[in-house]
Amino acid sequence: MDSESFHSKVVSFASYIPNEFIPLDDYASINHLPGKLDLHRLTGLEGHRKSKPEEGSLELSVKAAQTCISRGGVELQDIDLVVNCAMGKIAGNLEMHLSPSLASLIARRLGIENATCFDMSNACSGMLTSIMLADSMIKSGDIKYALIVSGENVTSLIDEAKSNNLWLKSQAIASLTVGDGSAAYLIGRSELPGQLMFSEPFTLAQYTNLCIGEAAKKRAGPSMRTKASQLQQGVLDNLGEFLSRAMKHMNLDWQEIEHIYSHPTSPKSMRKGGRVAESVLGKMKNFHNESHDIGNTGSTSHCMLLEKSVQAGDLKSGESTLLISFGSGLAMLAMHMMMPEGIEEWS
Amino acid sequence: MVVIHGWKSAPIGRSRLLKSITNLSKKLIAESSINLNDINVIIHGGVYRKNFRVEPAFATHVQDALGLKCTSMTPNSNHCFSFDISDGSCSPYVVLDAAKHMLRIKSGGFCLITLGDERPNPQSTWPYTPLSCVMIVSLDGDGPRLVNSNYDLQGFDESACVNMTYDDKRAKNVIGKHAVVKSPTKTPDSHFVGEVNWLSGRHMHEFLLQYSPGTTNTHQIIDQSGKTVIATWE
Repeated sequence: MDSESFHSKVVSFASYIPNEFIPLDDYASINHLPGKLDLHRLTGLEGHRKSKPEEGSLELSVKAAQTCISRGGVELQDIDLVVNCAMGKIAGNLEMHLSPSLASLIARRLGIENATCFDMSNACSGMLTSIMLADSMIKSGDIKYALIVSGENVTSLIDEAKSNNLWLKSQAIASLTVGDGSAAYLIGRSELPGQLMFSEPFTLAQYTNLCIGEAAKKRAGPSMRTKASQLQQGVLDNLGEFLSRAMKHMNLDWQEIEHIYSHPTSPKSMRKGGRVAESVLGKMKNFHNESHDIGNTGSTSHCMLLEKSVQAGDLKSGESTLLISFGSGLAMLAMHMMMPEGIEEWS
Repeated sequence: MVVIHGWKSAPIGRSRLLKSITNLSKKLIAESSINLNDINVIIHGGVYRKNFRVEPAFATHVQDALGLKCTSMTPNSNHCFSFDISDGSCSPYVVLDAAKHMLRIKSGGFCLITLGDERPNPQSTWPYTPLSCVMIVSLDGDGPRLVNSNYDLQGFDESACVNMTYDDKRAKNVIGKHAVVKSPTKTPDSHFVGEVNWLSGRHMHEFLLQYSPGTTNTHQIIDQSGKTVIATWE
């Protein structure tokens, strides 16, 4: 079998956006933060969604996956690959799943019996990295359908950050921008070429120590420390060249792309990135920057924004869509997809 | 199908995992016929990292420690792509399968695979003697050739899943208590089967030590959760 025996496409996607909205003022008002820091003015964020106590990474993943599979209309026995790409794999009780892959548990909960299962770890770029691998496996004929899934139960990072003196631990402040949610994509074979494409993937490892996620000290669950301005500058310094190369690699016309979604570290950082992109490649048709009420949901972030667009009725079958991903490391990767058939009927 | 051009392994001992993996990688590259810049992809397979780190990928730390293409982007600059993949002790094979596809995506070079685990903290119970194992792989050439790998979830016992849990007495996150499946009493004589309590690096080290060129070699890994992978090599 040669390396491009088949074409691939996004069959469906879905996000589970928890209902409970926690306003920024409840946990990060000016009075909560050192130096009268105004996190809303700094980030454009208004709050985040919080999962229920019983909803850990596994349960969140299963919810998004069930909707995704239902939308895609694919039989469970036809799914050959399940990849989990959540960063923390945190349960509702703040235990963190380590081994074997959480994907194995997700597959079992869904009733998928014969799939290869593994966990991908590439920070916020884990979702697109996983889809890129699945795309290659489908094009080579190794598999027919892949389910890529992530449940980010990460808002305990906010409590962890607030348990510190933020005057002394300013690198914990970025943890206040996260939110919970989950996402799933079903990738499968396509009759048509060009339905799913990727930029060259890059890791600029000189930035690798700027965001560290690990176990919290003296409390259950995870912690995150971020040199946010240095990391953002690393992205902005390379963004123009990255996008130019991505357009060339995928043979795309920037002006013809209907929808653009970038990884939303915060609405304000998205606007900065948007200005860099437009200065290099020209005006964007629809730049989706609607993360003000969901926050940064890690690997699920693009799909959370896509789901909001679905709910708003903004998307149509066959529309050209670009997802731009940045992850700690620093990983840079873009994915171009045609909107799945029947998306207008999704609810 | 991927081919192992060269491999090296060593006990982690008292050094940290990153130092162990970086030193092994440097030695392997120095002894091989390739240049450092011929490596386009790094994939790490492992479960346990210092203080249960999950972000960024361990492979990005390896890339940084090797100084591999850590430059700003220009119209013609070459860059590596690095990430981690895991599935308990079956990790070597999901990594090798991913490498096959990444070598197509970032064609014309080699993939550095690193396998290894380290005790997350002194408070965690640690019944393992892990080895670091690094491999340089490509899509063709001479060396052990992975023909296929097949995974089996049938024996997967959820009570044997391993979690990080909080120990109130020690005020530390530690590796939680978990069941371990029993080793099967009978496996085919033609299979090389490791111990259930080996971690990824040791599984590959032991298999490659006894690998016999010119014949079909079958490697079976049974994870302590009961998940199994059977791989065929030539």
